[in-house]
Amino acid sequence: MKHHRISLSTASLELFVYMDGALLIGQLVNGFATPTELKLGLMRSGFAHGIVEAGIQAIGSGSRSQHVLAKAETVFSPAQADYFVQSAMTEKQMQSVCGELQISRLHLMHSVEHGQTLLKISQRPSYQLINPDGFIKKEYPAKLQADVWAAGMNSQFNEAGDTVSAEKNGLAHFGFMHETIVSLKEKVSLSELYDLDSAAYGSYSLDADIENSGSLSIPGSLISDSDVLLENLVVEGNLEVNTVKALPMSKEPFTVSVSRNMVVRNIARCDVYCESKVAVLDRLSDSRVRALKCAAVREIVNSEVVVGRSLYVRNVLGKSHLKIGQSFVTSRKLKELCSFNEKILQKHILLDFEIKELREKIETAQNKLKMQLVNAQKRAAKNQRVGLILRRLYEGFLNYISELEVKTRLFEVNFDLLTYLASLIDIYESDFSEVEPSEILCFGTIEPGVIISTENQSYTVNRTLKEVSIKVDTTLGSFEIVPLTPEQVELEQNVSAQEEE
Amino acid sequence: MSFRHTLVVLEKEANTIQIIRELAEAVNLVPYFILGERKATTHFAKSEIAAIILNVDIPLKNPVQFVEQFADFNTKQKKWSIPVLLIHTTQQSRVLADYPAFESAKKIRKPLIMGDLCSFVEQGLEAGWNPEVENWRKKLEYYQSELIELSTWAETLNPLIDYFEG
Repeated sequence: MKHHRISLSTASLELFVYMDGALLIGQLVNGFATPTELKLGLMRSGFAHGIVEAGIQAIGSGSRSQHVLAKAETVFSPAQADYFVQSAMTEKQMQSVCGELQISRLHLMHSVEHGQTLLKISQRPSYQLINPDGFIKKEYPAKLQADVWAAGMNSQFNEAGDTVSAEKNGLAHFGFMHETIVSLKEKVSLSELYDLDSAAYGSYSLDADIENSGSLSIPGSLISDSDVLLENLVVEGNLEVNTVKALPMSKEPFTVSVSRNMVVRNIARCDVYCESKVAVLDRLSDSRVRALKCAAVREIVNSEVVVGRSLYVRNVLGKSHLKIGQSFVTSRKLKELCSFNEKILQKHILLDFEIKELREKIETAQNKLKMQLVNAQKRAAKNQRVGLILRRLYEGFLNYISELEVKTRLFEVNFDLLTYLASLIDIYESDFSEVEPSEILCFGTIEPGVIISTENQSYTVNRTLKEVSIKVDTTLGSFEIVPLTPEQVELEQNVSAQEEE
Repeated sequence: MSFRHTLVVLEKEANTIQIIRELAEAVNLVPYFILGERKATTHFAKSEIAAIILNVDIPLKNPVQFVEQFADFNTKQKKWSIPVLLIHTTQQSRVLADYPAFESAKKIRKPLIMGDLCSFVEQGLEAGWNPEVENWRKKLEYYQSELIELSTWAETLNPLIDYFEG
C-alpha cells in the first residue's frame, strides 16, 4: 500500500493505493471539498482514470470515511484504418457550403468498382487495463468484428484480414459503425419507391418529385434532384435531394429522420433529425434541424439549429436559435444499442443464476449417485433392483448434464454478444467524445435577435456579428466571440472557389 | 479450474455492510450477505468463494462448522483454504479465544475502515484485478471446464451402471 496526501484549495485529501496500483482509496482529513474540486485534485496528482463517481459524491457531500475514488478500468482501443474512399463531407467540404460563391453539388457517396480497395486496417483493436495513475497494466487484443466493424454490405476483408475491398460496382459510403457499405444504385419510379422491401438496402434514384400526404420509409439512400413534400420521411442511409418542405396545406411541419448524412438545397417548415452531418446548400427556413455531429447551412432564417459539435454558417437571420453542445443531442441509435445491451446483460445475469441453480441440482444428483454406487459396491453382487435405481439416477444426472450443456452454450453466445455490443458502443461513443469544444463559424453575418445557447449559457445577439467564431470558454463558462482569422476566411474562399471549379 | 468471485459475509450492521458492498463492487467481487446461521445455505460451490468475512458478535452455535460450509480447514497448517476475516466490537470476544481454528484468521476491531478491508480482500483475489469483461470470460471458462469434468465422470460411470444392471 502506498500513501499520498494532496492539498486541495480548502481541504486535504489522504490517498491510499492498493492492489498494485489498481485501487485508489481516499479520505478527507480536514476541510471540505466539492466533487469537482476532488476530481481536479485527483487529476492534478496524476489519477485521471477509472474515477468512481459514488466515492467522489460521498466525500464531496461531507463523508469523513474512506471511499473508493478510482479503480483500474478497461479501455477499448478501436481499430484504426486508412480510408481510400473519401469520408462523406470533410470539414473543408462542409465549410465550402458557406463560401462566397454558392456551390452546385456536394456528394455523399462515391462510385466504386468491384475489387477497389476501400480501407486498410492500420492498427488492430485491443483492450487496455489502465490503473488510475495511467499505467497500462495489461493489454489484450480484441476480436475485430470484421463482418460488421469495417466490412459492411457488399464489401469484404481479404484473407489476411487487413484490407476491405468492394464486392460489387456501386456507391460507397460509411455506415452507422464506420463500416464500409457499397450500395447498388437503382433507378426507381415513385410507385416502386413506396413498395420497396424493407430488407433491400440500396441507393435509390428518382426523377420525379415526391408530394403526398403520408409517410415514406426508405431502406437505404435516396438520391434525387427533385423536391420532397411529405408528412413523415425515414431514410436508413443518406439523403441527397433538392428541397424538403412541408405540404402547403399541412399545419404540422414535415418530420425527416436520416440515419446517416444529408445534403439538400433548401429546407422549409421541417423538423429534421440526422444521426451525422447535415448540409443545406442554400436556405433553411422556419424549421428545426438536429444534427448529432455538424451542420453547414448557407442561410438560416427563423429556424432552430441544434448540433453536437460544429455549425458552419454564412448568414443567420430573423428569430433563429442556435444550440451547440453534446448535451443537446442524443443519438437514437446509441440509445437503442444501450437498451439492447442492458436487456442482454439482464438475460445473462438471469442465465448465470439458472446455471447456479442447475449446478446445485447436479451436485445433489451426483452425491446420490455416488452414495448408491458405494452401497452397490459394498454388496459386490448384481442386483436387479439396485441396478434399476442406479440407472434411474444416472439418467436423471445425464439429463441435468445436457441441460447444463445447453445453458453453458447459451451463456457463451450471450457473452460473445455482450462483448460485441460493448465494442459497438465504445466505437460509437468514441466518435462523439472529441476533446475539441463545440463552435460556430460564421462566414457572413448574424443579425441581432438571434439566440445562441450552449450547455450552461444563453446569449441574445444585440449587434450584428460579422465573420466570427463563437465558442465557450470552458474555464470561465462565458461565450468567446472572436473574429475569424485571415487563414480561416481565406481557406473558406479558396475551398468554395475550388468547389465551383 | 476455479473462479473465485464470491465474498461471503455474515454481518448485520448497515455501515459495515455498506463498506463491504462498496469495496466488493470496486474489485468485481460478488458479496453474499448472510444475516444469521439459519440462512447459511450454499448457493455456490466452495471453489467460487474468494474470502469470508464474519462478524463474531453475531451468535453462532458453532462458528467453525459455519465456516466449514464455505472453506476447508487444513489441520496440519492450521489454516483455512481461503482468507477468513473476523470483525468484532470488543477485544475479548469469546469466539476468538475459544476457537483455535481461527488463530490464523485476520481480526479487525470495529469500526471497520475501507483500508483494512482492502488489504484483506487483496489476499482473496487470485490473479489480481479482474475487469468486468474478464470476470464473465473466466466464469464462462469455469462453467465449460466443469461441464467437461462432469461429462467425463458420467462417461466413466456408464460401464459400472451396466455391470450392476446385469
